[in-house]
Amino acid sequence: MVPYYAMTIVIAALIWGLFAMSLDLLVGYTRLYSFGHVASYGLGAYSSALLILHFDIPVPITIFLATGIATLIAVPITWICTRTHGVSFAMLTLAFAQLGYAMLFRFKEFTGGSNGLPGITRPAGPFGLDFFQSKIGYYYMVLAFLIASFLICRNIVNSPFGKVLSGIRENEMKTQALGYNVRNYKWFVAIMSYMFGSLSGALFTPYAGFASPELFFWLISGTVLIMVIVGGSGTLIGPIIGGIFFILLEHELSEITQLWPLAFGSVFIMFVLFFPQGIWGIFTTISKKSKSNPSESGHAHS
Amino acid sequence: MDFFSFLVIQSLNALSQASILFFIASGLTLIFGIMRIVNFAHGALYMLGAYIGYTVAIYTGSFFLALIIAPILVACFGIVFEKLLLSPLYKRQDGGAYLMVTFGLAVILAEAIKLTWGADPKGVQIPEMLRGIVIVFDFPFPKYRVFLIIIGVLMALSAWLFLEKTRIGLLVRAVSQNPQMVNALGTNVVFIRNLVFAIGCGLAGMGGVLAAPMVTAFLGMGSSVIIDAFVIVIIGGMGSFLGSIIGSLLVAFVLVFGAYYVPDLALAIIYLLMLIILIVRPGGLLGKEE
Amino acid sequence: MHILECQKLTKHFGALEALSDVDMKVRKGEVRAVIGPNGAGKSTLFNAINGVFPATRGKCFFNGKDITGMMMQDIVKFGISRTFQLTNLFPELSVIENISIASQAKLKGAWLPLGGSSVLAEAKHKAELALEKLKLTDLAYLPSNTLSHGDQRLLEIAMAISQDPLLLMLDEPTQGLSVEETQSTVDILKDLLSSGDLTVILVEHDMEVVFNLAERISVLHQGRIIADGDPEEVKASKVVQDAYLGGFEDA
Repeated sequence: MVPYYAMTIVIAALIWGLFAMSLDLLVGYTRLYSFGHVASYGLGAYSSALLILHFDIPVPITIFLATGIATLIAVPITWICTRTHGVSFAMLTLAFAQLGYAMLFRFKEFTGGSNGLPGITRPAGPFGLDFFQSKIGYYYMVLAFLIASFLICRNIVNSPFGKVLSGIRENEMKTQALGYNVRNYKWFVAIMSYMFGSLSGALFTPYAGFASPELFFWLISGTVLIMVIVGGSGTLIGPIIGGIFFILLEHELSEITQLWPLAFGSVFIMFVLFFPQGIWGIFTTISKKSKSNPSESGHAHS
Repeated sequence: MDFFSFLVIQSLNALSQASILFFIASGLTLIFGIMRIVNFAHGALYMLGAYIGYTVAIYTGSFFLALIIAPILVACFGIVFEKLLLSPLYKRQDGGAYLMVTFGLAVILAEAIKLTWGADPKGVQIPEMLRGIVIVFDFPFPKYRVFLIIIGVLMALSAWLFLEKTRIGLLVRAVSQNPQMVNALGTNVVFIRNLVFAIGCGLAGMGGVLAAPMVTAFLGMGSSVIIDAFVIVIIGGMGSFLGSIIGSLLVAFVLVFGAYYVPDLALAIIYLLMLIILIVRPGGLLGKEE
Repeated sequence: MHILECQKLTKHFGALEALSDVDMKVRKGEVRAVIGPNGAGKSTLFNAINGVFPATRGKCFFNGKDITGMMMQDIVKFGISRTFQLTNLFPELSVIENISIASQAKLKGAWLPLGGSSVLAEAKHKAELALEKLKLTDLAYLPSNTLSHGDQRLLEIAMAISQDPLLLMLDEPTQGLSVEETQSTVDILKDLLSSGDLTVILVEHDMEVVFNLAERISVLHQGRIIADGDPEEVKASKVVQDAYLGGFEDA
């Protein structure tokens, strides 16, 4: 049970955990490095903001709808991006994210431009579903979405589809030679990744009460990538933990020192260079040494 | 303004923009050609150049000193970065690691710059002798832009001469084609790599100083420019120096004329262009394999 | 009927004509070897047949169906599986995971993102069968990049076999193997082929392997078929001997 005063920050931490996990599908399981994942977050965030401002729908339904809308937008975007791989993929995803950022200012009657969209509430809807209007209610909803998403992702990763992803990760050419239409698999996992990413964005605006262009800023793509790597890519849990701890640490440390972003950027580079398996990876290696069976559970790297 | 003068003025505008883009793109493509790394931090290095240039200009009162000192400092910074953070990665097969480390550097640099110089944009004064206008076909055109065009052409020529006509340039080209062979012939390939990396960073830094009087030194200039630079390098071909010139011209012209004719779409056109190129010719117009 | 029929298969790489008017007919159940000096176009022939790249001219029919120009992944579905000259595996995955991914490709529901445990179980079962046939069962849980070169070549074959192909194409299966490893590979292949349903085409340099396994031999030289017949005919053919510069040599 979380103490009430900490609930605000915990909700933010859970949302970011979900956001990081969504990127892990691409980065950890398929080795497609996206530098534009903020686009999914921003799309989800603005979708739920606009829905709430214009319609009276209970919050949970809004979240579903917003995720759906953002995912639909992601379909052609991911189709284009997955035509490429490696650096071109990274750049295309970044380009789309930047495009989204620019669009916010271009269509300011719709999006509020640089002022964003303030005054986002958590409507109870026409049937008075007001449980989620309170902080506690919202916390449970976010937690439920996170757990459900994790279970779905874990299922995906352990499914036949997931096995193909690991093949693509290890040797894309061979996977193609074995008879898989690799392009479709990449496209689909990208859609999944954007879907869960936009879910986290959609959860953010009713919690924060506003949407603003910062939610589309490219540095967020970097931050979430860092969470995935430092948490442990290819594990689903690692990035969730990475996301949660990042938010909690940032909350504690950014009041102490202005050097916080610098510090965690450096930590990131350290991990890329010396601990590519991430925190969770280190943890499981240590605990595996005390057992002896090779693990086959939803792990991208054994 | 009749159509002909309009064309000339706008083309000159495009040329001056191409010049700045060229500084960044050429460095990026040279680094890729020699090290097979895409330096994601290149935009941040450009930004660093702008801010260092600002400081040097303030302290010495001379823009031209800034133009000399800032690129050198950025080049040194680049070398340190390469030695400390990139060389551990050479043995690894993982292409993703380079992307991440250079991306991480871009993030760190952005934050470090914010901490050092603050969040407000920093204006850099155009030096006395380059202020004002020249008259082209009865219309005014900023002297500074003429200066940009001239310096861009000079740099492109010098780089071309260096690559084609000097012994070191020959070695650089050789290393980008077949490093093992060059190594076997006794040349210090590591030195060549460091040299090219330093030059690439220096070029980016110089681009930043040159851009600063026009756009000011501001946070975020790195992220917008890295995409343009990447588009250019993709279009011209990864690793092709000539391609970076062609690409810079193409992108600059599209941006300038696009902004005039279809202002809402100008941004999108660049991405569209990149998309089309990536789809039709994944190696770029002139490039080597990615 | 011929399970595979190539008609006037031609492939140009720019100005280089790597394959010229290659005709090849392989009967069901046959073991065919494709031999030829270095650069004769053997791997090119394989690549053109199974869709790595399209042929410039000519046609290919598999079980009567025109597969010319089809993409690699579709051709696998029709029943052609192949190995490659350069060992091409999933390095950090275990041996059995490698094979399971291969066998899964031919199963219904290979793409299922949720559930699919029966698909996974069947894929694993087929993988275990392939492991047994290739005598790799002891190595099942080792990461494939820790295997010896010889075992890795066998793993490649296991992956192809696990797809229950109608036609198995092996590109230099004994490449880089020691004498002992070559012998055991040949024994394993002989075992595999004893059931008689599988059609095999193999590219080989090692003549002992060829004469041990092949029922018919096609000889490629500079992109053309210069001989096509049973081993005795081919051994005796002057044309072939000249192409190999005066006699058969082991690679």
